[in-house]
Amino acid sequence: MASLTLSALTRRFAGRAAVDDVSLAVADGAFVAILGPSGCGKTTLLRLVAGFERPDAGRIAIDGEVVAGPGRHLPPEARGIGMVFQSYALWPHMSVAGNVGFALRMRGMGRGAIAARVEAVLAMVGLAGFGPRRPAELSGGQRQRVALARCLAMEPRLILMDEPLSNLDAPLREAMHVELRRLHRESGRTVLYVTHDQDEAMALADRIVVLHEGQLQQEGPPQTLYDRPANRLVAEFFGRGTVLPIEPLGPDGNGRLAARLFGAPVRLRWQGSLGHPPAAAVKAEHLALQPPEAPGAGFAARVESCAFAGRGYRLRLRPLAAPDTVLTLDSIRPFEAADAVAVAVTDGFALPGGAAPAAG
Amino acid sequence: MLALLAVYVGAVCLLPMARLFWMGLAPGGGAPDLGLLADQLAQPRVRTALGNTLEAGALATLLSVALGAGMAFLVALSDLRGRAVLVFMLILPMLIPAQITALAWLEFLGPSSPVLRPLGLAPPMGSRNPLYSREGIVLLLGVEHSTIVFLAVRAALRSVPDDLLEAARVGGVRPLAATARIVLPLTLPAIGAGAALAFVSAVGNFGIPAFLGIPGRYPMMTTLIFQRLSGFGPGALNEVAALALILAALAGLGLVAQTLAQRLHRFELSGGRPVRGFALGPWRLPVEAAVWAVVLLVSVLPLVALVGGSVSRAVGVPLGLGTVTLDHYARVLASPATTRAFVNSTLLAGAAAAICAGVAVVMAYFVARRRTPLARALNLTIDAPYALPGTVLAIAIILVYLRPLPLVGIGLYGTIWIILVAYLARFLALALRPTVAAMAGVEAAMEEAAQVAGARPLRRLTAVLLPQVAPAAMAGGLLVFMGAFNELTVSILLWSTGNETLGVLVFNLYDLGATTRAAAVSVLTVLATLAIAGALTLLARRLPPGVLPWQA
Repeated sequence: MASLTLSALTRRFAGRAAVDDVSLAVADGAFVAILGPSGCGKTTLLRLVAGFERPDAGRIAIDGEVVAGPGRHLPPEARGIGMVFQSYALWPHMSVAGNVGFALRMRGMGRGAIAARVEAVLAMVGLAGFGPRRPAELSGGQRQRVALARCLAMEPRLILMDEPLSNLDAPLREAMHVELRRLHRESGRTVLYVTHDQDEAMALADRIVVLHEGQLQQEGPPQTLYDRPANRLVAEFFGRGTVLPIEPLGPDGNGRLAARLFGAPVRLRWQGSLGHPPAAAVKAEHLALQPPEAPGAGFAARVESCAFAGRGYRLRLRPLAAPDTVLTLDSIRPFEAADAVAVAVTDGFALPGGAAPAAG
Repeated sequence: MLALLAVYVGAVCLLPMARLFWMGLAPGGGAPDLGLLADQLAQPRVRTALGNTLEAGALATLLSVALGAGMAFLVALSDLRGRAVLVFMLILPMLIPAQITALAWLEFLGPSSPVLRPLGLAPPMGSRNPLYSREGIVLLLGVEHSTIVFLAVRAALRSVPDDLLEAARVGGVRPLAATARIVLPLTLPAIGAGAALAFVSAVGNFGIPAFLGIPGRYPMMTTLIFQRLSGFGPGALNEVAALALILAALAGLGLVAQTLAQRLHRFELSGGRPVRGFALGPWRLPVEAAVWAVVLLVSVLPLVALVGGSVSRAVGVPLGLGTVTLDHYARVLASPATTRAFVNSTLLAGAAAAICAGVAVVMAYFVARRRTPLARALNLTIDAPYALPGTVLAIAIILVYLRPLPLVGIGLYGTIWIILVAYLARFLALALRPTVAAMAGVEAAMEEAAQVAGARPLRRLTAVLLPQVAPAAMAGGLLVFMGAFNELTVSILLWSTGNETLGVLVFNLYDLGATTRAAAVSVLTVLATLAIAGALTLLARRLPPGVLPWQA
């Protein structure tokens, strides 16, 4: 159980910054997901915290103790961290119990105490009695749990996870989400969790950090990132949002911004400032097809394609006012290509200008 | 640790090779002086040996390519039955050392052949063995090194995805045309590299030219060096060093050619099942018959003749139920010289295997895990003593260890230890390759996980990495043992009385005309070799792919 502070952390590979001036404070007991597309620097960030990489600038402190910084580099074995690897990295020549108890052996703990702790941790991850087996005899999901147990057995101050569920299939992954939440609740340990999957980040984390090209884009609770993205990158990456240009008209008197979107009037949530050029983050659920008998206040668009999607149809549309833009939305009835439709924008968030707002 | 490793590799591999080049290129000890080399090249005997080496090497390479590549294509691209057995039989010549191959073929094709004589096909009694000739040397060198080409081409064929062929078949291309237009171009670099390696092995071979060429008056570079050194002793060392350098240059040309051929191998061949081959249809039976006839001739019958020779009463006595005798085995086993050679070779091979495997683990750690530049440089230098002819290495070792060692003042020359040093240099590459492959196969996260768990570097090596590379290191050690146990080329130049190896013993017995006893010793060593090969096969499941050539 520990807090983690990153201050102006930078790591360059061949001159290119993989982690670029990242500052972050993680509270004791928090579950923080680091989210971003592949190559955004999230794994490098995790490896910096673990101690496998040395920062080129900045510092890392765990519980106020500087573990990496100018003139100081604590090796991973001395940081008191636990890590779950993407490949699990179970030692194939050791039994499950051997894997889970390895760190305790390194600390010189007695045999009896190790056996008791190993069995307790295995029970915690639902693998009671699996101690004598070899990793090769286990299924993918079971190996995942062993990797988790190995990490928990160390009683680390800080748990690092590098896309630990990416090798599991979807149903198993969802079961593990529930499991990880429970383990986090029960152990109360601070977790830093790297993933490229926004659904996973939302399901698991108390707070999410979005990273792009090594730079921190936004940090905050999942709801905040979803509803009020700090910039275009977060809006597009997170929550399957589209960023569309707007013509601002001015505050509407009810705390919202009146604007035109492809010529149609809209009322947007906003925080008082606008980016250049002004734009709004619009989610798929904010787009509604107008009934043909009442086109109302929507903008005109042409159907590009219509695909059956089980409960309804998925439409791809091009607004007449911006034929280069493609919008996706769901419809309960089918359309033909080239059909004319009208689309109303029921909600949206005007992207703020300037620096990313503080976490809210 | 790395420093110790560097000193070891320097003393065993680097220093001898450097000294040889220095002696050959600057014999005066100062400025480069090519006079010695030029003198040697001007001698008619050297010119003859060099010419013969080139001639026999080139012709043997052609034979190796025809046999090795032909068989590889048939095995990989057709539906022959019993391919696993076939592959083992085709690789058998590789497991049999050259001097025993020579002995076996001499028995097989000689006037008293236990195989040909009952069939009335043997040359008339009292006639000269037809193998004592250029053609004989080319035939045996070609057969012996066809395995190298076979393995190289087979590996390349296995990397050709089947869908490339399926795409051609769907497009209406017939099997033969698909083979010629698609498979052949893709495997050409491998054929070239295999041919280059076969050439290097042929020009560096000692056993075959020694057994066939010395009586057949067809001197080659390896036999010339041997005769010069045993005729004049270490006094002729300068000259011999120059000769060794010429041989090294010859082999070096082949190695450069091999590297160039491998550079050509830039095709992206990824994914998909490897080629399954075509149905031979009505041709299957005739093709099978022909293939097995070749295998029988090349791999089986010479060994049968060797066994036959070892149980026949005396040279020339026809083999029958009444004349079969185990007397030679009894005499061989009772002779102190044989026992001594068995003990020497077992100890030398055992020590070389254990030391090489141990060094390989540490070195593999630095090469594959830490990726230290020094370790990678060392990794390259240790290839030289393995790739270059054994004769060259032996001369290089003599040059360095002829004089007493500094500090301790003990000389290794004339003791068994100089043979051990040479084996350590020669065979380290054999142990290192599988160990590096295994070490590289251990995912980096395995070690990182141990680091997170609080294990320090030495502990990570012993608790996490060593258990995972141990099977490969052990297999490497066994390969070293197999190579060293039957070794002749190096030990023939380094042995002294009392320190004979098995290879030297067989050579000396043959030299004295005790062919039947030489055959008996050979049969025993072949059995030992096959037993080790069997042990390795049992280990195969736990090894990285490609460690065992006969399972590749």
